[in-house]
Amino acid sequence: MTDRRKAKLGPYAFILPTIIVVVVFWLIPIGKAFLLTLTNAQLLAIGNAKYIGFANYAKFFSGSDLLSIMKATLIYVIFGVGATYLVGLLAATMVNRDFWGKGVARALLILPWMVPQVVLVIIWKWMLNPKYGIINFVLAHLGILPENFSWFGNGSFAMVAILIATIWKEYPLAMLILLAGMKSIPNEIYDAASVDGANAFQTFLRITLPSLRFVTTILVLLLTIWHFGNFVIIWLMTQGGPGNATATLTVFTYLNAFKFGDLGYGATIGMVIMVVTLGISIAYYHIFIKRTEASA
Amino acid sequence: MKKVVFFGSVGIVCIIAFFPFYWLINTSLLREVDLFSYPPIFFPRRNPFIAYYNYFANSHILLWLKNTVLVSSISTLISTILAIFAAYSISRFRYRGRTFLTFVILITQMLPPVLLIIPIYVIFLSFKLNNTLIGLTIIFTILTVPIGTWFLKGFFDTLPKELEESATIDGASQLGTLFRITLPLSVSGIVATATWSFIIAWDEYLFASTIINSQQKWMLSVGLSSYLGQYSVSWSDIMTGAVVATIPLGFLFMFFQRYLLSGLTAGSIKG
Repeated sequence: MTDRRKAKLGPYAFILPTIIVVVVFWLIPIGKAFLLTLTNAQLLAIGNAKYIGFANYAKFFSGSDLLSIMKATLIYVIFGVGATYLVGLLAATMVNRDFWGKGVARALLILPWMVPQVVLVIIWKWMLNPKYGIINFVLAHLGILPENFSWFGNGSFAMVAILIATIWKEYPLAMLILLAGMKSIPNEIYDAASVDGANAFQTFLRITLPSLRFVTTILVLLLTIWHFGNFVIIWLMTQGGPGNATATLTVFTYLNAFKFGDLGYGATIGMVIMVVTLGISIAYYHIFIKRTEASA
Repeated sequence: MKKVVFFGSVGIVCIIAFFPFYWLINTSLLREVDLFSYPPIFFPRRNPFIAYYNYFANSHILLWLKNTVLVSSISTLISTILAIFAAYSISRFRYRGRTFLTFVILITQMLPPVLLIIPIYVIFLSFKLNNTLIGLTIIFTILTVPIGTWFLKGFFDTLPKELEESATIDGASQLGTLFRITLPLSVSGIVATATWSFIIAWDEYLFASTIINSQQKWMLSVGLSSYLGQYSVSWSDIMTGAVVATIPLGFLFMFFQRYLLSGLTAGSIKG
């Protein structure tokens, strides 16, 4: 082989192992998952799976669970993403200013990011323990909640508990990304604004926020995909309960596949998640990112 | 007045961020009777050395740690090596199909793990990989290769091309250039990528709890989660285990925070 041939093939050879890994362990399994959705494959008797056409899809879209699953998913995604973004923005705005003790504040604010998900759930389950939890103690003292209140016995409160834990872990990432965006805004713009007599709030509204447009669109997309696909926090907090109140699409997928042993039906719901995720990403790209890039 | 409001709000936010950590550590250092005290006890009551020693001696945490360190390290090593080559290819060369291959790698980030695990479980069944640490190592590798590639691509993009170009003119092969010029310049990026892969593996629960069923092979995450809903382990011991699981990640985040963030935002800030 000549050197030039070699040089031409080099880049392909470098990327080949990773492509093989992705095709063999991601793309082929996803294809296999689609085939599973067309069968009644059971966890404990996969060999007996029979082709049943699109019956699993029909079951899901006509099922009585659909509405409650969608509601739980939308609440988790919309409130989760919105609050994570807002808390992150608040924290970033604080740390973007110069003040005494800023380094310490920044370090403290980042801390929740490093907590493993299982530990996160353990911490919040203990703090929200009906009898001995510190949060229950404080809230009962203030007369906000009755004594021995069980967060996980009530669908709405269970969702609130899941959201609090999620936001607490996720906002540092939002904060760091927004902070990086704020740092890239040139100081001259702020100087000009202060010469013109703009107050801090006006500057934030007119300069900071618009400059963060691109960072914000990307961050919201990342958070949406992440919240949409999140499984571990919800599963370990409630396993989707009480009833189906906190069963999002991911939890419902896992419940059906591995708790009830209906792999075909579980894979079907997983497929729905994938299609929605891809749909959101494509739509988002066309509506927001292209436009933001064009105007930037 | 303005200053008071500002410092007050910073203080409140910092307390909300930090208090759960304090409570985690405090609870791990309470005696069992203290847990049920009313009002709650805000300061440690156990000798930390004895408490942690007893926990290590009387629990399976060392076994879980061993499994976790083993699987996370090996998968990190393999995934980082794969990512180095793939990222080098995407970042440094322009060739037919490059955009498509990049897309193939990135599309994995849109595929929900909870869907992937179903076919993987079925496929692993026929290859007898379920309930093996090898199977889990494979999974952690494939979960981290795409993100690692993207990280490193962002890092390689920031390196000046001139050095490599002069090496090529001097007759160095592509592989030679990678090893002699690019890699030595990229140590911090590679360390950050490896750290990120290691953190993902350490944190993983979905696959670790589904693929593995014998307790001997549990990861730390699965072992800790087994405490939930089990009444024989006291909350102070649960918290001790949780602290042990958090400390290594804490160190990694502390040392590599700057690099981790630059890798994570490389794609999002620059567009």
